[in-house]
Amino acid sequence: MRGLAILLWAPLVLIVATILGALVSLASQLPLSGLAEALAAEETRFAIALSLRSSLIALALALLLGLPTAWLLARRRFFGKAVVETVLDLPMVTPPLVAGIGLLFLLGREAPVGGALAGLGIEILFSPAGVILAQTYIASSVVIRSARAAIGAVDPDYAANAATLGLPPFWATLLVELPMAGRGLMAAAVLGWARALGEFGATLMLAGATRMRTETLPMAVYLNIASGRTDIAIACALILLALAFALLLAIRLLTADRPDPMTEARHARPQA
Amino acid sequence: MMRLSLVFGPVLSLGLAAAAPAETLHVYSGAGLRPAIEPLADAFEARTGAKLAIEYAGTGQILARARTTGRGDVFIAGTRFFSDQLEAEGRLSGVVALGIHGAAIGVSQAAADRVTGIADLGRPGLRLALGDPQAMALGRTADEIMARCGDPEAIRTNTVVRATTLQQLAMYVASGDVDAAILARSAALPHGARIALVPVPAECYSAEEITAGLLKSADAPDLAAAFIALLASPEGRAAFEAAGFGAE
Repeated sequence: MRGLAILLWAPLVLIVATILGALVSLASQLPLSGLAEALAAEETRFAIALSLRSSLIALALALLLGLPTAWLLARRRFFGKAVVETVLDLPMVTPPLVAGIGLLFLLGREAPVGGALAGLGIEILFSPAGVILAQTYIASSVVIRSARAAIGAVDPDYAANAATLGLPPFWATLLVELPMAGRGLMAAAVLGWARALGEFGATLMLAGATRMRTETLPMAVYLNIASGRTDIAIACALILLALAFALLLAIRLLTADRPDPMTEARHARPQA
Repeated sequence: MMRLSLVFGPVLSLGLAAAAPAETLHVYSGAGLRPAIEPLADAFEARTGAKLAIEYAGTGQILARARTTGRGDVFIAGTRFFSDQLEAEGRLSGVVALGIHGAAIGVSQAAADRVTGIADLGRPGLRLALGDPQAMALGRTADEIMARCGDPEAIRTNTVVRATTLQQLAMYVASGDVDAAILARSAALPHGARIALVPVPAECYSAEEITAGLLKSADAPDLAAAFIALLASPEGRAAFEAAGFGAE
C-alpha cells in the first residue's frame, strides 16, 4: 500500500523538482548585481517595452477576431464546420517556426499578398508590425478555442429568455451571454496574452532578429545567447518567466471554482 | 587513407589508433561553414568509423554553448575573434587557420541593376540585410566595410533586418525580401543565379579568418586532433576553397 503511494507521488515530485531545479539554476547563474545591471541595459528595457506593447496589441486583435468567431462556433451550425474548426486549431499544434515560414512565404515581397501590401506602403516583413502579426496569429487560435468552450458552457436559454423580454439578439449576446461567460473569457484572454508574450518562432521568421527593432523578450534571449551575452539573456528569460508565472496564476484564480449565484438562488429556501 | 597518412601521418595515426569503433565526436561549427565541413565530415567518418555530431549555429551561439555545457571536442569558428576568447579562457588549444570569409555584396535578381558597388548600398529606398556584428563574423566585416568604404549612416538607415547566420542573410536576398546584403561568397553559391555577387575591394576590410581548435573538454582528444588535422590538410583547405572560403 505504501509502495503504491510512493509510486503515485514519485512522478509528481520528480516533475516539480525538475521544473524548480531548472528555474533555480537559471536564477543562480546571475548574481543580483548582474541582474540589476542587465535589467538596466537599454536593450533589456527595449525588449520589455516592445514585448508588452506588441503582445497587448496582438491580444486586442486576437480578441477582436476571436470572440465573434468563438461565438459562431459555439452557437451556429454550418456546412464544413468540423473542417473549419480543425483549420482554426492548426496554429496551436503547428510549430511556430513552421507557421512563421508559411507567413514569410505568404507575405514576402515577391509573393502576391506581400507584394500587394508593399505596393500600398504596408511593410509587415522585418518590422514591429510583423511581430504583432506573428503574435496575433498564435494568440488567436488559443483565444478562439478557450472562448468557444466558455461560451458553449453558457445555457443558450438565458439569451432566449432575454429575447422574449424584448432584447434584440445582438444585445442579448452582449449583455447576457458574454457576461455569463466572463470568467472563462478572461482566462482565454490571459492565456492568449501569455502565448503572445512568449512567441518566438513565427516572429523570428516574419520580423527577423534585429536588435532594438524587432527585439522582443524571447528574441533578446536568442540574440544574446547568439552573441555570448548570457547575462542579458538570463535576465530577459527571468522576466519572461516572472510574467508567465503571474499570468498562469491569474488563469488559476479566474478559473477557480466559485459558488454559482444562479444555482444558489435556485437552491435557496424561501424565507418565511 | 594511404595518402592521408603520408600527409600528416603521426597525428592521424595516433588518432585512429586511439579511436574506438563508433566513437562520437561533438563538433561545434559556425553555421556558414557547413558547405565545407559536410564533405570533410563524411570523409572522416568513412575513413575512421567514428561518428561526428556537428552542431551548426552562429559562432557567438556555439561559443555560449561550449562555455555553458562544458562539453564538446572540436570548435570551428567563423572568425578568430571568437576562438581567441575560448583560447584566452584556457578552453581551446591547437588553433589552426582553415580559410577566410571573403566578403561580397549579394544582390537579389530584382535589384541587380541598382547595386554595382558599396556606394550604392546607401541609395535611398534600398532594403538591406546585414549580419549582427555581435553574433557572426560577417556582421563585424560589414561594419568594417561601411566604415572604410561606404556611408555608414545611409547604409544603416537602409538596413531593415539583421541576421545571426550567413544562411539567413542569403535566404533574405534569394527570396527577394531584401535587395542586397553584405555576405560571404560561400553563402551565395548554393543559391546560384538568384543571388548576383558584387565584389568588395580587398582594401575595404580585413577578411575574418576561419579557425578550428581542440576543446579542453574533449572526451577523445586524439580523434578530435585527427579531425582538426584533416580540416587543416591540403584536402581540407581545398574543400574550404571549393565552398568559397578562399582568397579571391
